[in-house]
Amino acid sequence: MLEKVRRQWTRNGIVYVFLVPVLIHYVIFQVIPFLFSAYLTFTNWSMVGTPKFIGLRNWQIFMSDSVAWRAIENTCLFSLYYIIPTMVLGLILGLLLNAGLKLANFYKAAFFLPVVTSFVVLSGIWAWLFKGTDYGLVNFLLAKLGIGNQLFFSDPHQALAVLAGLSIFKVSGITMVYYYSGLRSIPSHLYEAAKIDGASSWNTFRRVTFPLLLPTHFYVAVVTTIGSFQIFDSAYLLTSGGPDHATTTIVYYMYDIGFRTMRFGYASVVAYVLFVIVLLISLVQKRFLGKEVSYY
Amino acid sequence: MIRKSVLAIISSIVVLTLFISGCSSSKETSSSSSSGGSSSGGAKGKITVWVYPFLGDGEAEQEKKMWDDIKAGYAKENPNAEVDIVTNPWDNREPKLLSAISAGEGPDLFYTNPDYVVKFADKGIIAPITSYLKDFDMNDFTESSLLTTKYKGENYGLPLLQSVVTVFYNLDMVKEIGEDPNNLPKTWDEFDKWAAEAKAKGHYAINFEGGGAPNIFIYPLIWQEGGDIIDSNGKVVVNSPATVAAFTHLNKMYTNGWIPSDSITSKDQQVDFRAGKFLACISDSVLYSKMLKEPPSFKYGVGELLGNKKQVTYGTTGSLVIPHNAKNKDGAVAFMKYLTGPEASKTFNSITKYLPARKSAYSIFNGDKTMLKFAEQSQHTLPGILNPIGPNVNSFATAEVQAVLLQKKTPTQAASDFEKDLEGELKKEGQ
Repeated sequence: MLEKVRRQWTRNGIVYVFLVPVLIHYVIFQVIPFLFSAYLTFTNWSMVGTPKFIGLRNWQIFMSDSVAWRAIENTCLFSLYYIIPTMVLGLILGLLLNAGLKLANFYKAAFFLPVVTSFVVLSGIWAWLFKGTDYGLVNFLLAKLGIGNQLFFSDPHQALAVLAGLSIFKVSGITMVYYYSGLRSIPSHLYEAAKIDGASSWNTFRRVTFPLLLPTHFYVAVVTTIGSFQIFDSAYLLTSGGPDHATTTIVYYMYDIGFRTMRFGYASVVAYVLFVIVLLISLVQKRFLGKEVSYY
Repeated sequence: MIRKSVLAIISSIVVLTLFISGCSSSKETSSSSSSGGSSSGGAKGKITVWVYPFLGDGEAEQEKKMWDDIKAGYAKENPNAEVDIVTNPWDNREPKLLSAISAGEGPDLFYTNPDYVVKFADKGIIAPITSYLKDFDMNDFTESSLLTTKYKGENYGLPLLQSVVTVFYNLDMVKEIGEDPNNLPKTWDEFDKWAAEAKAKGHYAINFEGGGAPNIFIYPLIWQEGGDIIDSNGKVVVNSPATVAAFTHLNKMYTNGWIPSDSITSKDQQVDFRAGKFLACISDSVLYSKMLKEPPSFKYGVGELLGNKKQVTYGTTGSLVIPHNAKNKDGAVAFMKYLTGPEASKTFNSITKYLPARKSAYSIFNGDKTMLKFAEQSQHTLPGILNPIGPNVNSFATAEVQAVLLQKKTPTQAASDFEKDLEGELKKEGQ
């Protein structure tokens, strides 16, 4: 055993040395806060003084907190509005870029611009575009088409979808890059073989491109899912969780409970519920999307 | 083998050195700043003061000059003291404050609003300063401003400014609808008649920012009907005919189109008032400052406080308070007393156009009819909900009003649910 350890150290010692700072950082900034937060779920704490132990009271409150359950429902609905369109749009943009269009570099930069633009700036633009009176640009255009004024952020049935639209607009540039990279990694001889076999474009996409992008699908699905469950900025900036809690998401509610009411114990409960939901979804995604596909 | 070991050792030393230097604090330790206190030559040591922009966008330079002048005046009287004034954005200020104070990296003095004075005092986040005020003349402060700096018999701060939420009118539009600009409405019933006339001419009557502060747009409506939200004994009294009347009136304004359709979640309609789309606008001296700087294309004036049962409105008192773990409490109190003193108060309020909390400083507005009108109306203000759950109430108020405007609840249901929400909060706070 000792000989094995000595051989490992001799072969890989320098690797372990470089890992030490990362491990220290991980323990201090991830593991310890994770465990401290777990402890806080059983306490009442306002960030000052010692947390007061209250047992399972916070968890009991959560079970009967209708706003918390509404927040979970809203977040799941937001994910439905957000994940698939982001993936589809990213795939389409990736395919277009990979098709060798003229000015591809320009389009790459243009589609990626929202990714590097501040959320505050994008929210300001979105607020003007989707203003719920005839002064908003979208309502102005809809009026030209004979469609009546839409309330958008003030309509509980539309507000969440409009916020999802903003997130899709912001993030599609990144998913485009992921899919573009994935497409570039597919060996060209597979396309040549498909061509020789007389496959149509659609069949080539269905039988070659799409399946071989499975690792990319999995990665994009996991990343966009995690991102969708962390949605906060747009709800905070544009709707403050309204109207009537229609856009209150889990993270927004967690922030609201923590920093407005100063009940960090209860906010930690909400955080843990979020963690469990995202973990379960990631495991399901791994089960169905985490398979390797190979034509070798 | 030996070379690899040597390389591993050297690499580990380099990496750990970089890691430790990256993690270490770059702040200087300052033993002098922790030993602040008044001496016969004045206060000493360094203090950090957190404030927020009191002037509009594009006026940062003017605001910086104001603070520099105030610091220079303080330095003359206290040559051994140093003041660092940090201007933070209004958004997200409480989380930033809480995080900083909790980490021991907070300021020595900061500005806050009445509901947070009570909340912070209740949670022990700010320190009482009663013992520092024994020989300090408090008689020059207005009664209403001092009300908001006290909690359970202790003083927690000194007031710096007051404001009044009032009604501005587009006087050209008043004439357009055939009404007299010299005879502005005094009650909501009178205003509603003008609102219908404005709507008939294709204008909005007034703003309602449903996504904004309930202090400005919701609570005054309840007070003006003779009601309240939580009384001075901490009892929830919001489920009352007054609240039902207020919600009913608001719903009437919405369904009649007197307020914009996106009022449910709107956060800023003042820009539309300044663009000439509204007959009236509920706002405070911030709007007045903006219109002084960029005059609108129409004549405007300040009206009377509207109220069917009571002429009352919201008026904030901005105060300076000290965190419980401030490094230089003595220095912070010394600067707090200076900044809220007569001379600095005149400097601050004449530039920011907020009402002074000191009666003797009102002379700065001689000749400014609008500011004198604000000063007169400030006698009829309430500072919001002075209860530890004050800030908690806001999201419930907003949600219930939004439910009414969305026609999901009747005003009676909303008032009843509002009461249940607040009673639930009081129970949770009592744990």
